[in-house]
Amino acid sequence: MRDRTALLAAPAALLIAALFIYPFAYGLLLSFEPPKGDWLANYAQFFSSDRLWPTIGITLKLALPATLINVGLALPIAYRMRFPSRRQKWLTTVLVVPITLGTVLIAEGMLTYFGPRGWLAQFLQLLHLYDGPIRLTHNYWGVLISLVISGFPFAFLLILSYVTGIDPVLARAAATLGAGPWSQFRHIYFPLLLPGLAMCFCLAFVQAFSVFPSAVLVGAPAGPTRVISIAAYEAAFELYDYSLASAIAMIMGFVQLAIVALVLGARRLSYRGPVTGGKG
Amino acid sequence: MRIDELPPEKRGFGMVFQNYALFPHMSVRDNVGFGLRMRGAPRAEIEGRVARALELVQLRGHEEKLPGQLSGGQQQRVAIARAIVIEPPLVLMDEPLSNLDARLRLEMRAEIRRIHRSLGRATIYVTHDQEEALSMADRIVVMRDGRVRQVGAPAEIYGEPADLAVARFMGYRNELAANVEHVAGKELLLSGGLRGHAMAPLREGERVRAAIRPEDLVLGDGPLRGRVDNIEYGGRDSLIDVVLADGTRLHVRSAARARLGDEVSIGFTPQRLLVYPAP
Repeated sequence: MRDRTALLAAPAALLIAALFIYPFAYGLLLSFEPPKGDWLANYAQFFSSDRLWPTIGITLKLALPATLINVGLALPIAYRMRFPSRRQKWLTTVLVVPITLGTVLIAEGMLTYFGPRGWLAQFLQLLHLYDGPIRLTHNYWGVLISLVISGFPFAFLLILSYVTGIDPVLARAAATLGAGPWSQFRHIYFPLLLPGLAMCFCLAFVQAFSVFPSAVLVGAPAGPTRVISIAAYEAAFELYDYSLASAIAMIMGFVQLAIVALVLGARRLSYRGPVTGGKG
Repeated sequence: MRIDELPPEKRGFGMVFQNYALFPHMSVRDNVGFGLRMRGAPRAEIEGRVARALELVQLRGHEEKLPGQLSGGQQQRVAIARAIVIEPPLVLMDEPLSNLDARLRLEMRAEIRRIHRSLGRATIYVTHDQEEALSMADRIVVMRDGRVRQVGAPAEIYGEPADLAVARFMGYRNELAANVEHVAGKELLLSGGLRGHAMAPLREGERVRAAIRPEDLVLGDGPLRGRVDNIEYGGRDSLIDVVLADGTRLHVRSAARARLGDEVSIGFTPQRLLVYPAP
């Protein structure tokens, strides 16, 4: 008799098909059906238009630094807080807040805090620390700061869970063999964390690459922060060219996929396996 | 300079951990060579010393494996090789066998003895298993509540436990409450007609506790009478529980046949009944 327990997975498989595969296939087909021109016309238009193809570079220029900052900052802080403590509990609670707030609220807060007449500017000018004009909103830096504020907690919590999953006895064993704090990190924690860091990088990157609200609200959506999702939005809801918008979305997905594949491919080179040193 | 104030990397011990704590991402060779690399030893020297250490624990040929590919006993031997390869003045083993099954534990016990003898290096071996302590140690330190209770050779600790707590730990599972009726040097006559051996200066009339091992009790003739309450068959002999009239439960290790509910008498050699002041 055939194993019918596989049928139990059917509802989940249907849901995935309905939520992911169908829209993806629909969009893919739609992108090959431009209102005029041959089937590759949308893609040809994207890569020949000065308004469209630079958005890839603009988005990468925001998403890659933001991801590097988030992962790079989260790693040392999470590492410092790897032992359960009141501080760890307190910080994780505080960091959940920006995740739940959403980018729009963060953008609004940034406008009052980082704006030209915001608290930061007033504070700096009051103390005469910096008297020049402060422009941290409505440009590249505004979007970058927003991406860090919304992305850092995510990266931190993810890395913290990886770090605390590593048996601290391993570091103590290394210490008895003469490894100082830096060597313990370099030779024990870091190699064991690497696969997790790669995963965290991918998730944080995908999140940052699809930046939209903050690019509009605290960026300069007409120029320096005209990211790829803005281009897709304009095609869909200002030009009503759903076919072109689908093509842009496909290109966006392809760029994300390429970076993720690159990082995960590099991950295969590192050790992946249990992160404890023997029988529990 | 107190050693407990030094960070572990400055103490210079070799240490074997209870759960081995092998580095899961490093090969056996890199695990064993880790301490030498941290000391900046030259590559050729590391190679030679790692090879000798693996030779000693009989793991040649496994150099390239990851710890996850080894059995529990092999992992423990890697852990031992890793600790001794740096030639520390002292090796500390923290219950290294508690994660192994019974048969492997016996094998590894002999193995650790062998390694210890061929190294000739002072080794502190922490264990909760008195049998392990007796069989492996040249000298035993019995600790309880963070205090040293007795230091001595295995035979000394086994035969003459310094106090009741050490006696309990060393397998004196039976205890009887009594009063001293007559003192003649070390020989004592206790209430209930028991004869015993004084482990501390005792006076007539003093309340005492007498301890004796299950294997020193003999079913047959003797001053104690009770009813067989439980029998654990153990092959060569059995562990027989006898409940006395006052409710005291005695464990007797005996090859004699007994049945549940039998009324039996229990005897012993007075030298083997160790008498301590009541706590």
